[in-house]
Amino acid sequence: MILLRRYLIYLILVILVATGFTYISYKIYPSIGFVKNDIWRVLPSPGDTNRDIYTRAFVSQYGTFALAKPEAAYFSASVDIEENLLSSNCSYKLTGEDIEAKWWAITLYDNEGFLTQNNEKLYSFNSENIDFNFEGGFEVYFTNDDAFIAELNNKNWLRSPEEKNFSISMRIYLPGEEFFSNLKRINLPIVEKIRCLDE
Amino acid sequence: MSSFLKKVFIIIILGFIVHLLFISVFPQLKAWSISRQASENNNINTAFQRDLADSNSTQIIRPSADLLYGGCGYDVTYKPLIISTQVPSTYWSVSFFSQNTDNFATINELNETGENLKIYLFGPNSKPSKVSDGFIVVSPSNRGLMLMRQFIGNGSNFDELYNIQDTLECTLEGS
Repeated sequence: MILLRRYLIYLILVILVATGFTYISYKIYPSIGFVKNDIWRVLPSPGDTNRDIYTRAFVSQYGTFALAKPEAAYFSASVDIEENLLSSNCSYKLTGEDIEAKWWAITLYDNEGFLTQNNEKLYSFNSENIDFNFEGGFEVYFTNDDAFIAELNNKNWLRSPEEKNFSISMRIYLPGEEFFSNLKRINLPIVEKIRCLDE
Repeated sequence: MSSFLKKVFIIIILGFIVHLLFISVFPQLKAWSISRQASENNNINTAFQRDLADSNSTQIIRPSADLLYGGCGYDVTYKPLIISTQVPSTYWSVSFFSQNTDNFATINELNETGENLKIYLFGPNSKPSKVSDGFIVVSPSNRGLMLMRQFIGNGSNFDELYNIQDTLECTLEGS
């Protein structure tokens, strides 16, 4: 009985240590697994068969059926150019240039990673439905401020959630093999804060 | 080394091994949970269609609002699966995910330029026969998932895309 109790304590300790390792790897993985490009983060091989076990586990939780390269690249950002978290309290402007690929899309997600509820039923802009400016670039605004929306002279805006922070993703499909060897330096859109409701 | 330190060391090593096992098995568990949902809905080896994602779509984290999805969970333990569909003029892809969620194959417009697509999906232990009317894909696991993605573009061809989605068929050979 005493022996059984001792082994049970060992088992609990082993499980606790395993849980600790899993927690630490969950916390550390984003800073070592992702490639950083300005405000954007991207996994170099999200769906590939030769990815490491940590990437496989992370992707299965946060993007279960991600495609392997060179089919698609999935960039995400949760901060603006000043490295502050994207807040539903503020309005932002994303500025970018067209990207050489079959198509691309910019999508806004709430803090749980789901599409944000909005009356407009607008969740994203893609390379075929976005309004480009005269220089061939584009702007997209993220806001939950109706006064700000009324002032806008641009149909490219997405409503951010009513509360908490949010994130954006940029999906790029069939960008070519070379794209993936240059993930750190590709010219991607920037996001800057315009104003906040409490300012 | 004292007996106490030895025990601590062994517990840490065992804990790390259990952690690695959990991390390795986690994707399979995730895929198993999804395929269980699919089989409860009778969707194994049967095509399913999904509406465009919106704010009510909470099955998958970070869904795409620009892709129309169809697909089928598969089990090719005993027979190959035949997948056939029309394909649109916009971007499309048919991608295969093994039981550990690896994307082991993708067929897209770069491979098939016609309007119709046919794929024979074989299991890991089968010997694929030659086919003249489609692509052969060999899955590294008996069970997995096939997903067809269609790009909605500016939304002007929704009807065409939904019609194409309805043409997707997944049937076991000989059934």
